[in-house]
Amino acid sequence: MKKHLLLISLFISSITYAQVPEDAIRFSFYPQNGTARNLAIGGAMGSLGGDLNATFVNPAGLGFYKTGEFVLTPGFLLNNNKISYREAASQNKKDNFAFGTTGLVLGYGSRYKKNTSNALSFAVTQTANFNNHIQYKGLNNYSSFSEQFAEEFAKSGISIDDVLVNNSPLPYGSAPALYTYLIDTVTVNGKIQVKGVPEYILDAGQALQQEMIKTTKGGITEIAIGYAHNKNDKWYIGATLAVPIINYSSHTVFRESDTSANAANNFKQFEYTDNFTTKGVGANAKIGIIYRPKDYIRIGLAIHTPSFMSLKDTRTTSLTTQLERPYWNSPYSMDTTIVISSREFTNNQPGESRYSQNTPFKAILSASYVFREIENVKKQRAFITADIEYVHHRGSKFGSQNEEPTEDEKEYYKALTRVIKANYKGNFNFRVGGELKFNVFMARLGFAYYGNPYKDAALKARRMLLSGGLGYRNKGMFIDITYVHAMNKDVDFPYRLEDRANTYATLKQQRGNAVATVGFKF
Amino acid sequence: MQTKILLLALSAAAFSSCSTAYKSAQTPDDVYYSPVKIAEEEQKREREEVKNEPYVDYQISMGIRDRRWRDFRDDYNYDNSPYNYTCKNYSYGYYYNPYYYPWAIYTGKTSYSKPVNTTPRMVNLNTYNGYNSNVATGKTFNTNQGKPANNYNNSNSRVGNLIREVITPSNNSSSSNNSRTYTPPSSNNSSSGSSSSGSSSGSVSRPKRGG
Repeated sequence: MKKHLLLISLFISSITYAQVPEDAIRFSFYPQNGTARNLAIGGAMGSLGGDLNATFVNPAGLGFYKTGEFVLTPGFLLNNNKISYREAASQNKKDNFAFGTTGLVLGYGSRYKKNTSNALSFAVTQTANFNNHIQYKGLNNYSSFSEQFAEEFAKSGISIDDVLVNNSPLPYGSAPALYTYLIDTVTVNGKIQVKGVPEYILDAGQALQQEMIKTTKGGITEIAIGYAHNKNDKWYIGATLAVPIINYSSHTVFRESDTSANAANNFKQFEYTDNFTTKGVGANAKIGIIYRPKDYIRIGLAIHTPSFMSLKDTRTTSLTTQLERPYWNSPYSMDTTIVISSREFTNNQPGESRYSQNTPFKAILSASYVFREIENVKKQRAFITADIEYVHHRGSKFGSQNEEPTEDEKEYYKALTRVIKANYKGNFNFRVGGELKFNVFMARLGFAYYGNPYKDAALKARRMLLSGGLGYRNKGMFIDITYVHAMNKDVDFPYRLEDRANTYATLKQQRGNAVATVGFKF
Repeated sequence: MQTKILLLALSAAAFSSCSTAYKSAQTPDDVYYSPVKIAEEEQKREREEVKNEPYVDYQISMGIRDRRWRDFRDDYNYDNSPYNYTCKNYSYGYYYNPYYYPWAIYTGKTSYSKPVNTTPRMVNLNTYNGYNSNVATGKTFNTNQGKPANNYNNSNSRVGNLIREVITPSNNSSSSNNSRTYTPPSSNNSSSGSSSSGSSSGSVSRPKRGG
């Protein structure tokens, strides 16, 4: 018994702080948000300045303000997903509200020097919007979702009795799978092995019907205070302190079923439901500089520190398994349905885990050309601007929030860091846009490209955004409207196995983002 | 969501009423040029307004409106003593008194709650390509060299079937090469068809095989 307890304690100590590598990319691979004007020009704001969104991109851009401004940016997202999974196509959509950069800028000139000024901003934006719905299905004659539980349980070395307890070390996958007999032990040549019941279908040369339904909600809302100093209208330096508030939830349903009409081939179907939330708060800083070597030209550089976040995950899963003869060996019924919730294995309450996560740092290099930087609004003509951004995706880190981490714990985090470094890479993002101004009316176009963060060339992912917008500015207020059309590619692994080739779905997402900004000058 | 929209609308209305400075003049566009002139004029006007403002004792005026302001100024009341800086609501299970102790003082809740299961989402890090070079002998690749860089299977070709091994439930001796080899603790060898007895305290008993 002591040996069991030792094994269990070792196992628990090595997993209680575990996180998955996908958590890293979720909080770093998304397009930049902003005001309607900024979104219309592709989000480029590394050197242009004069927009509240400079708070979140290059705070030095706030230094162009010598006036006050209040900005509101509501928006609406239209998601349309086309998904291919094992050569089968699916399509689904989901719309929801969103908001862009909203807040206040207070610019004030120096009493003594005409060309020197300071600006302070208070702003909030939805840095990332996770609202989406993806659904795909396909036939799979190669592997089963249940095998990940078989693998997990086989590697644990824990007995069935020790898994099926009120406070289980494997409460979300192996325990429900063992309870419903979705996985069990079999003896092969005198050796005990763990096997998923759907594998009998695969072993017989038949395919399983697999279906994944995943609804995600929430986002990262960032509250920031920015400050910038303008020295002689030549040098602009700025800094932002920001607090990202993370609120992510996912509801995932995975179904797997026997496609044959045979009612006595061990397995009929199962449905696995996973309700997962991540909530937390963090802090980051952004510093930047803009140099204006001469009129019309602006060159900017900005560095974003990682977001240092303290997070809490909450999780509940449930499993419904339908088994058939001969595996379900009952004289009374041909088949049976067994249902269980992970709450049975987490003391009748959702499981919780707390950890820290650092997102990767960013660096932005930018240049702008502003035609006619003059006071008379009627003579202002146009600007063009472009950003190059580097995001160090492979630099995400996780950590325990225990005061005295154990050696096992440190080792796990080192391994997780190696996995993130091995699977992700730093990528370059590009944003470019321009505006034409006709007295009080403005027209804008923009383009943005966010490169693939996956190191493996087989996994295609990118964010490509085309944008256009109109603006009106008169009588102390301004209104901007923008439409951003995103053409995204990504991959989704419904499950991963160690001893088999993995299967994944390819996602093609068309996301429309209609945004309006209303602003007031004072 | 409706609350947010209402809040935004109210804020917009409030700021539109304040935004009078540029209603008659040109509205500056700070991207192109940000004038400082109007702000300076406003500051000068504000300074004049402050000079001309009559003195008002806010403590007295607020005390007339609401008696709580009068109580707040009662320095002789024990409850208002700065050395009695405590949250009186003990139902939270803790309170603060920075004059005695710089951290929260826990009074302790009497009710017992079950420990929270802190097991997070787990992941087998070996399932990520390119990381583990010592993958155990698998069904797909009968080798100890680990998975190659692009080890994916996204189509239902016949190859998928052929490389699987066959383990039938009726005859559990047809295969020998499976990475899911399970070595249970020595005193508890659960085998095929067994059901957990649930003998230990806090166990969850499986339904009996064969119902």
